[in-house]
Amino acid sequence: MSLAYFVRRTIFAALALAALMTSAFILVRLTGDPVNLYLPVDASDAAREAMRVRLGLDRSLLAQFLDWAGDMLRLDFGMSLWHNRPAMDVVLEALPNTLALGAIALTLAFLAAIVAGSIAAVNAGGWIDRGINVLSQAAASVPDFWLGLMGVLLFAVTFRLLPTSGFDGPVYWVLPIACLFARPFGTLVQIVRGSMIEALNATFVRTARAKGARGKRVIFVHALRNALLPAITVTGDLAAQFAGGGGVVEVVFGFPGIGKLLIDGILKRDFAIVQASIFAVAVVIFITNILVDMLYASIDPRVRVE
Amino acid sequence: MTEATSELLGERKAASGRFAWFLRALRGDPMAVAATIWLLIVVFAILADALSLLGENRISLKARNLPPFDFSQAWTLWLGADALGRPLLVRLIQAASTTIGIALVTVLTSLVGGTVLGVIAGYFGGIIGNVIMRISDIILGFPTLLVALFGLYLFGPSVLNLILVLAITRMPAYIRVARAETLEARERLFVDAAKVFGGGSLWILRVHILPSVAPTMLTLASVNLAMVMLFESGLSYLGLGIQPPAVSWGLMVAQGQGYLSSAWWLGFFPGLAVMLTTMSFNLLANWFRIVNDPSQHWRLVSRRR
Repeated sequence: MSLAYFVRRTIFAALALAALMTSAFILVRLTGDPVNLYLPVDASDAAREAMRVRLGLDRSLLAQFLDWAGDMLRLDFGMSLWHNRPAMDVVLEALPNTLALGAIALTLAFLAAIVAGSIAAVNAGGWIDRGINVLSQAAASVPDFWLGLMGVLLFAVTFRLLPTSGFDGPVYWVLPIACLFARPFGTLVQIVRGSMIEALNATFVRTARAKGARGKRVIFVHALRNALLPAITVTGDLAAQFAGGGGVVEVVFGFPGIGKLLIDGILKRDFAIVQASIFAVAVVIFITNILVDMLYASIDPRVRVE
Repeated sequence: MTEATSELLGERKAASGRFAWFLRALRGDPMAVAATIWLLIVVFAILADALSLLGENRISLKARNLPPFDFSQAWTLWLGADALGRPLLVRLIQAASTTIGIALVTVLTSLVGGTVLGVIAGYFGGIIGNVIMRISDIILGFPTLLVALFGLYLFGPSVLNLILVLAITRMPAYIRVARAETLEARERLFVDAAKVFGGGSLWILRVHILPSVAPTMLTLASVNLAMVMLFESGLSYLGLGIQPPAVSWGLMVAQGQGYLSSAWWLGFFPGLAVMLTTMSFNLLANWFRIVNDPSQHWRLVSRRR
């Protein structure tokens, strides 16, 4: 991994972020009254006018833009109207929760998918394979918010084993993790199964068998190692999607992460929070992508990062 | 004339041969058969609703939160009734047409838009091509749900905005694939030949490039259908997608959430419908990809074993 590569990636990521934020700024100004984004629909005219002056919306568009761009460069995202604190402080408080939630769910999904996918591949065409196939297809297709509600219904309302929502100790993590686990698990099982069957039919596995390697060793050392690469690539893509937060799942469980913060910010028209959380998510995704690239290059020597 | 007739017969024979092969491939994959049956049921239900064969969707206070599987009631009430006493089954079918309709329109929009932009970027390149690709890269750099949420925040929730936002956030994937396929097709001998014979750009694009790009694009679209349905359900559940009095499956889950402990069926059945339909789309997309790719036929064979 060369320095030039890193610099180029950084510049592109910064440009992409700047483009997104700028287009958002312009769109907000072009699509009617930005005050509507800050105030509820039933706000009075006087409150609107006061807000307009407070936000400096009575000035020229260029002056507003320069002001806004200066704030962005100083990483000043403004005050959250709902929390009445600097928006970035609120976001930084929520970020670790989301990262931990996503990392745990994705790691568990990856490990479980390798086991389930390998078992399916070894028994390809048999009943075990069919069972795992149905299960993983269902897991990949289930709407996560619905899975969350059904989990609450079953484990919190009926059996009273787990809390419905909130954030106060490890038990509050069980259901959100289980819900976020489903989709990557389902997707990854399909991928591991496919590439594992391919690897088991490959010539290098036949060579290993011919040289007298035992069955289990062939499966778990020779075939699995080669079959893992596609799974790792897909996990990397999923990791970037997960950085946006367990979005809807966080809302279902009242989990104080960045997904809930962002969606609440949108529903409560708190533009500072929306801006700050999108910025934070973009930075996390950028770092995740670089880590995935490095990991990929270190596993597969054929991949040279350019 | 005889020549023309025999040609026609030959064509028909080829078509039926292909159809038979489809059927045979379908038989080797019981999950794809189940998916087809489920989707056929959904389509017939939507048609029946469109022809208003299901009876009225009346508010009936006597049937408020009527539990499901009470077979002494009229058959529309077999899945229970919602908080206003409307039969849940009929509501589910009405929501099906919204949810599936939006997914189809969205996928079609991004398929057409993405193919056109990608082919332009690949065939002509230059500044326009670069601009198209850079914008796609920016959109692809962010999670789909995030961009969609942000778009709906800026423009406000409505059916049209929902379709546009979802179509635009999914479009870059199509643009990338279409561009890559076009770059490959552009270098082929038959395109050079067409140029030598004096074919115009538009004609070459229509006759030579589009047909070789189309199969990959259709495969991509079939994979995206399930994804878009899940996004639409999630957004509607959050209250940023379909707005009442219109109804979609995601919105029905949100409306049933308040009755989770007293009337579980209100939230259960719409979510189950989303899962079964998404799963069917996924399974058929998988099957479609395998059938259309000779190098993947072993997957069908190994399942039949």
